Amino acid sequence: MAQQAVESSSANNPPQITPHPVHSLGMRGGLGKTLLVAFLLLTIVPLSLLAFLTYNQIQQDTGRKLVASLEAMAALKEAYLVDRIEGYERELTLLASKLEESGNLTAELETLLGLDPALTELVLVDGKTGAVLARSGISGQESRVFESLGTAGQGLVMMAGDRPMLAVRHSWDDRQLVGLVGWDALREIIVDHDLPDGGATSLVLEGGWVLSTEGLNLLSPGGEEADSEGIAHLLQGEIGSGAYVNQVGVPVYGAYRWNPELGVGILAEESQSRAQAAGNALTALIVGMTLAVALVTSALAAVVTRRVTRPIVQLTEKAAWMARGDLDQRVMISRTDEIGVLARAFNRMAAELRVLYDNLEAKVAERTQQLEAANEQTQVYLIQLATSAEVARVATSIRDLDVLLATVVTLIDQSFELLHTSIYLLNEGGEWATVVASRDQSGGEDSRSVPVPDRVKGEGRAVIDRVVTDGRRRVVRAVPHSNGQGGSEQEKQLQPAVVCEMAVPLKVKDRVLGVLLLQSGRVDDFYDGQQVVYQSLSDQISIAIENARAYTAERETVERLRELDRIQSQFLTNMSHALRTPLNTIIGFSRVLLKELDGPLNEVQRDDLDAIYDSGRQLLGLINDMLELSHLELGVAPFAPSDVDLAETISGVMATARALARGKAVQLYEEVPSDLPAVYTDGQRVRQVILALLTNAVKFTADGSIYLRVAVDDGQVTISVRDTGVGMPREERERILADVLPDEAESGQTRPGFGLAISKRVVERLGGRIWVDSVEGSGSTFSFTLPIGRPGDQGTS
Amino acid sequence: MARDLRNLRVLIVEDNVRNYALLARLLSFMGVKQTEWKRSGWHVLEFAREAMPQVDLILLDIHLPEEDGYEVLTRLRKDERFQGTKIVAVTADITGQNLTRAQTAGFDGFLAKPIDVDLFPDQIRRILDGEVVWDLG
Repeated sequence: MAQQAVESSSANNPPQITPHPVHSLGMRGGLGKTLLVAFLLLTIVPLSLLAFLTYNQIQQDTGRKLVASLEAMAALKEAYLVDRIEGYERELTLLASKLEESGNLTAELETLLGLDPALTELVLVDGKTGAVLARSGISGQESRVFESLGTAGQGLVMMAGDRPMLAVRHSWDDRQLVGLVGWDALREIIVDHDLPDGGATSLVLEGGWVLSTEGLNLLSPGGEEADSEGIAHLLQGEIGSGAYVNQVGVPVYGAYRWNPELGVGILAEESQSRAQAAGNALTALIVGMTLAVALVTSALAAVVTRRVTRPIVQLTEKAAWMARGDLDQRVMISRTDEIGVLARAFNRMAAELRVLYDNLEAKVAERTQQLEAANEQTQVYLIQLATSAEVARVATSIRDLDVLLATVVTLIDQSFELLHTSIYLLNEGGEWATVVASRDQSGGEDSRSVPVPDRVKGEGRAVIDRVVTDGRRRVVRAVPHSNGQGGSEQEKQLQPAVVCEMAVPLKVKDRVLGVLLLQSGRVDDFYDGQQVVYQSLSDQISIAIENARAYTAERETVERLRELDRIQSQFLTNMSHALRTPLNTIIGFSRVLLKELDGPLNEVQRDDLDAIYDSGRQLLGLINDMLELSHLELGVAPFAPSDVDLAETISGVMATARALARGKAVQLYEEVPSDLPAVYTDGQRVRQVILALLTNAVKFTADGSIYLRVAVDDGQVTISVRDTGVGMPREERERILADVLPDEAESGQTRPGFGLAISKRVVERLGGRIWVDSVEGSGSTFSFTLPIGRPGDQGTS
Repeated sequence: MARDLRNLRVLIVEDNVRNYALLARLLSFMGVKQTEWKRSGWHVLEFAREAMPQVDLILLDIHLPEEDGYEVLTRLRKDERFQGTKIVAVTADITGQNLTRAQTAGFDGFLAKPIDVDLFPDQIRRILDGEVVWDLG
């Protein structure tokens, strides 16, 4: 039931499906970016690689081409130089043939010089000595240089002071004509515009002189080291080419060519940066192209990506909306490709989901309704249970029948919200069913008797007749005479109409005690489940009625018994008094006679008077015992407890008992511990009991011993009286203390009395216990206990 | 017989004539000459001064017609004529309730019926000597 309640509570609040707006799903960035990056990587990386390789190739080709052209240039320059030198030699030969060696050689030389404008000087040297024979137009300072021309085998090009000169020779006989070509002519050879822009040609002389268009530079004063790789190669007389850094620190391509005959090296160099300028332009073109291609590719990739991802993103978003519960999402994609198929499948799936979800909602609603119904039923059960429990509680706590039924009726009426609830009880003869408790919603109470004529013919309340007759519950729907059994017309109109009623028998086993009548204004009341509940309630009420009746009867019995006791006590008291008055006369006068106050008596008279006096005393004893017994029974006998010295009490009693035993062959012994504690009890009563036991022992012991023994054990004292008398059979032992019987007298020797019966009650009143052990023929032992401490003392219970 | 009881004046209030007779006999054996019998307390108070101007001892039954012994005792104690009189309850009612009441009422003695013939003379003498005697039978 609890589980139902839990389920129903959750069913009351079905989970609300609230579509949340999808702000960002992160899908557009994801798939699109991935695709775009992939596209770009796939285009730009190969393009860049291609561009790089191409650029590299171009660079290499350019270098190679340049070097080749530089080599060709160097060769060309050399050839040109040689050609020019040969041209000068031919001219010199021609001039030599015109030399006549007339007197004035100098004039002659100057004349010759005038013939050839390319020559700046002409020197005639003696072929054998090398001495300068004559020269033209040279200042004195320069002549020193020329003086060494004939003697030293210098190279073709030489330095004339700080200016280089080309010396051309023509030898014949013992003469040698040296023609010097000036700087300007040399320069014309060097400067050549055939080279690409920025290229330069230099002549390198022995000793590290570099002759370039910019002038003459001494590379190294020592002439042994060169900063430039090309010059270094030249100075070593090599022919070749390469890429290196030249003497002014510029990276160049260079071709070098040493002409040993001339003693001159040709160096053609082209700056690498210049050379690469062309390649750079090409590189720029390639990079630009690549970038352009990349840009176009990117744009295309973006477009393609967008075209591919947009429907996917849309699908994704819709799917996300659906996941959040909005099942009315549809994808608007009309394409024929796979995405179109996907979209159509998505829409179909969404529609099916919608249908499934609707079904589910319907099922949930249905289940919720069921749970609510179950919950309601549970509530009803709970109320019924609570009412049942309350009725049960009332039934056990209220003993007055009228109060009980009124409470129960109110309880039922309020718990089940009925219009009217009443309980009818049958009288003893079963002729009348009387409303003993009644309640309606207005709180009014109704009480009247309804005759049960012939059990069937009751008007209006025939249902009660029938229920009483066969003891079965009945439900009447469409109750003919609505609204209870009374009240004015106005009251009836004010009250809601009774539409159904139920009469439940109040039964114990098969006996019908009465009827519980319930009236309701609800059409759906009193159906199967409820009937069982009301039947169970009725059963409880029935038991409560029986209990209350039994309690009442019991209480009445107790009161009657108490009254009887009181009457008996009063009777005994009165009787005792009434009997004592004549006994006073009988005992008194017989004693007066026995004392011979009225004159002497003969033997027979004395015996007769003895009998009268003795019987009178016996009668008095019996009356006293009777009175005492009744007072003990009623609990009105006085008890006065105090701290009692048992040893003293016992010694007194023993003296009396010894007096009783006088004339019999009976010995009395006592055994009392010396450290006997004071006992909180009624000393007179204890004395009475011990005396009664001793009297009894003496009575049944004709010849023998009587032992009185006192023992202390576990907070109590045990006093026992043992005799060696006749003893008693088991059955007598059992009843001797239980029954209120006069002690049996032994052939008139002793007086009968109620000593033992009184002793038993006295001991019990003192909080002890009394019992007897006996073996027939070998005596009896009567024992009783007394608590030592006051009641409530610690450790003396 | 140390005391001479011949001049002792005794009133016996008793509704049973035989019991009166017994007491009277016992008293006469003791030497008492002046014994008067009254059936009720009322009769005691009405009793003529001339007949017995001084009363030494009253033996008073508790169960009496009209007034009970306690009421009689109260009235007697108020009368100056009985100021020196020993008043002794003689009753068959020996219930604890009655005993308690008798003790507080102010009797000079209590003799239970049936009276002990052997002890009676001594008990009376002790009471006359001023001792309070309680014989519960």
